[in-house]
Amino acid sequence: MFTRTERYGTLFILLAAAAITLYPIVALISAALESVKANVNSINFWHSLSLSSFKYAWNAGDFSQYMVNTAIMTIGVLVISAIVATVAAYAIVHLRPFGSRLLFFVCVIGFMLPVEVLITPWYYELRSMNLLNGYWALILPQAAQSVAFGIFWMRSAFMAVPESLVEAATLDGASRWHMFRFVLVPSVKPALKTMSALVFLWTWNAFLLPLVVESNPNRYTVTIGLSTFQGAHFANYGALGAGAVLAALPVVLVYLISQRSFISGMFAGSTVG
Amino acid sequence: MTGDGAASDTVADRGIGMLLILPAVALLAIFIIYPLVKAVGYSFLNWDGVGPKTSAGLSNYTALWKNSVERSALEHAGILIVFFAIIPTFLGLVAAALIARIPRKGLVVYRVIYFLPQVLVTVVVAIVWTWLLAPSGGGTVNAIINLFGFHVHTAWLGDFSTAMISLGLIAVWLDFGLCFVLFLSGVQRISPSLYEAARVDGASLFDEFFRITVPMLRREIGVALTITTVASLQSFTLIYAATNGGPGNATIVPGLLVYRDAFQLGAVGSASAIGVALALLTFIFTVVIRMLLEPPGNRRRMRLRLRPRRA
Amino acid sequence: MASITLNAVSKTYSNDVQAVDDVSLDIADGELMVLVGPSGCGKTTLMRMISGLERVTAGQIKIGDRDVTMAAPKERDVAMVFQNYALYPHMTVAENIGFPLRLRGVGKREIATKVAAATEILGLSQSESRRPPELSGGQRQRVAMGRAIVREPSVFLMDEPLSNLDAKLRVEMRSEILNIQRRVGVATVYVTHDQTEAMTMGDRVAVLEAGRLLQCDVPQTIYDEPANVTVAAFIGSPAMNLFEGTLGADGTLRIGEETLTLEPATLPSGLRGAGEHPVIFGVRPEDLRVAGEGDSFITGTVELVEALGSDLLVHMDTSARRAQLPEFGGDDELPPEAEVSGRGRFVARLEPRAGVRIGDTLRLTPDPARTHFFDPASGQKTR
Repeated sequence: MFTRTERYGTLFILLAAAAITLYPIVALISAALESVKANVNSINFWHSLSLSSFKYAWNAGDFSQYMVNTAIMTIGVLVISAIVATVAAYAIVHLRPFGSRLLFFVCVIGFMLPVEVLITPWYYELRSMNLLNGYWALILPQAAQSVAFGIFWMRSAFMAVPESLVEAATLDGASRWHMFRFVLVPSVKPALKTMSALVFLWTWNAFLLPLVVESNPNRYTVTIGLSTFQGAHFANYGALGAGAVLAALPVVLVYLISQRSFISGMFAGSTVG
Repeated sequence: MTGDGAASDTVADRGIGMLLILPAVALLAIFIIYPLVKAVGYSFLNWDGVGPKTSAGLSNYTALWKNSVERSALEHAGILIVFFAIIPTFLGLVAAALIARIPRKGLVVYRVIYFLPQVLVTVVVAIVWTWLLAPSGGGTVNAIINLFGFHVHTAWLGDFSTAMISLGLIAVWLDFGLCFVLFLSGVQRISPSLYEAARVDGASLFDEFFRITVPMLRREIGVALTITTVASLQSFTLIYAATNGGPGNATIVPGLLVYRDAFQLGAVGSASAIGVALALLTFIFTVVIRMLLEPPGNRRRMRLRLRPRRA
Repeated sequence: MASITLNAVSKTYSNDVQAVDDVSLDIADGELMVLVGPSGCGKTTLMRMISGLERVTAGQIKIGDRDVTMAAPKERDVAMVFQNYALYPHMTVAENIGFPLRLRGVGKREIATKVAAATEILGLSQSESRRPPELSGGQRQRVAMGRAIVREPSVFLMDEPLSNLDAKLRVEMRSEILNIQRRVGVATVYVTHDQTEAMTMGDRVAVLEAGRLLQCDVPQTIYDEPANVTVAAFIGSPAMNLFEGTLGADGTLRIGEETLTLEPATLPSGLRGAGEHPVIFGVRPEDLRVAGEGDSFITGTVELVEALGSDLLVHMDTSARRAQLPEFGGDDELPPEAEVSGRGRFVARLEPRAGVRIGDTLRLTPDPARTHFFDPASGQKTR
């Protein structure tokens, strides 16, 4: 039915696209494995297999600190937004308090707003709260954005739980709390996982906010750290590459573990309307 | 809970509900609503962040097209939309369509690979591509081109005429996978028998593409365009880390301008105006894309969509 | 163990739609009462009001001696089997069945015992650790029942439990449900839109339409003595022949251009005596036979013959006008010409070897004892 040309043509396209996609990544890893002392300033694939660059970035390059900062920020945002958003979404769907509709509207606006419009007022606001140069300056604004997304996302998830399931549990004698714990939360777990994966990616990757609110290098996130590192080590591909790999690794790992969640998550959100 | 309320719906429920949404309300009020209002306020001022605030009327907004740098930024944003959104969407469609007709297996691996650029920290992407687009050196794009007998030494990101396009190509690399994966899953919904029937009826490849694949992927196209367009409007990190607007102002984009104005030039009003403009543009684009792609019967209440954040 | 009493129960939605209109019903302890009627008749709403999932607008509901009209669902001690089973997908069969007990704080060991007993009755012992997505439709149905019976409730409610099963399974499950219901011996309300299910499963059947209770009686009585033209049309397959006609004092029934002479003695007392009455005349297909010598008959051309093997269903085109019953078009649809001219078809159930063919001219006569007359204005049976 399908000609050989078509089959091989298809395969060729797939492989070519994969090669183009992976090439920069392979180059990066290859650079990261260069010895830091060699001060290599171009890409030689598989020239060496040294971990010295990683050690350098981690210690002298302060990447250990940057990773810790980023982890604190990301986990903080993740925990706060997961709890606040899930609970609020539950309330909106099942308890319908006054202001539910307004809250939802604000959420939709909230996660559509570009950071560029919020960053300036954020700076002055955080300054007046005396939170600059601390972890809260990194966590709170992003938590707000993630909560906006999270409520939007989890509300869909709660609404997708079949009404009959809730009714069955009611008849079985479930109180509001039982319902939440034994029926609703288990039902929305997949959605929660996807939301967490996405929030993790976005938060870890944050740049403009950390750039603006942190002037103390001790509090740099790994993105900002990498950026300044780039300034100082632009000619040392080993060091820079290692720093980059360290910065990128956690998200890539999470992605590889849960890629189905990730991919479907980014798309599904756009079709739920 | 059902119908006009089950026998147990109570005011107490609503009270608990209000308690439960309180943290969310607080967070959103303090860090979304209040700043937004403030931003709009600032946009009508001349202010450097420390000194007195004076009214600027609409001058910060008219500067968007009067000021040559701001105009450039908007033009560049337009170019980026083409490279972030339109080209990847098109390429993704073509690639998915080519795959569509042939039974396939093992696509999961490809999906994982193609989507990878999306999960790489943006600064990392910028750094790697800075290397690849260097004028000379091993493994660069120039090196690959020169394998075919050319002698190219272009500084892709350092040259006024090529910088913006180069950034655009990085964007294509970034977003192609996203679009391809999206369309791939959409295309798998299309039964191969549709194509077989079209074949039998004498349809050419073009026909198959424009009359079967594209219409059936309407929704996915909308999603792809929305995500990528919105991302392109907000592309700060990539530009900052790759060229920082340079050389000169050849790659200046609105996001960068906001940062410069607010935190380097002490022009808070201007920065806020640009930010507000970006927000409006984002909204407009989202609505327009949605309207264009909704099948003619469904153009009723517009609801709003997801955007990814690249801060 | 309790009876159910419904007193003038009504439900009006906020947009003024009246789903249930002044329904009064008594269901005895241990009885299986079927609520049947076309879609939208209010049967499901009524059942949900008994469960507490819908609020009552007017009237009173009692379970046993308790007035539960205002009580929350979980205080009513009511168990329900949902149309789509509503099983907890993340719990195993055993956990699903044991869930209500767990919510009540029953001890683990006791839960295990009771669940084991339930799975034994339901034939699910092998599947206790599997999850709903892994089960077949019939198994899921049984898990739903298990979850209901393990609570030993006062009342059972079943919302079209068989409608998601294929035909063969449905027949099997019908008898299983009946067995379980008898074993458990609890007042049961069973909702269905399938009149066969209604007739075979109910101790009594309540026919509803547009929120109103039309008739509640044992199945055979509903069949033989429908109180209302809607009930008459809904119960019985193929549907009862219902036609507009005019009845004269001497027993002459004119339907379309046909005239039937009926014994005045067989007519309802309300129709004997002076003058002409417009009526809706009804006779079931099995109560028509080929007219012999001296029989009064209706005649027409045979349009369709369905040989079932056990019977011959004959559709005869006549000049008679069908009674207007918008919801129940019945099994036969009128051909366009017939709709314009008002012509209708009589359906008769004849012997399999009656030798009738399409195009034949046929003469049918009704069994005089089995004719029904309804008032065209109210739809009620004329007695």
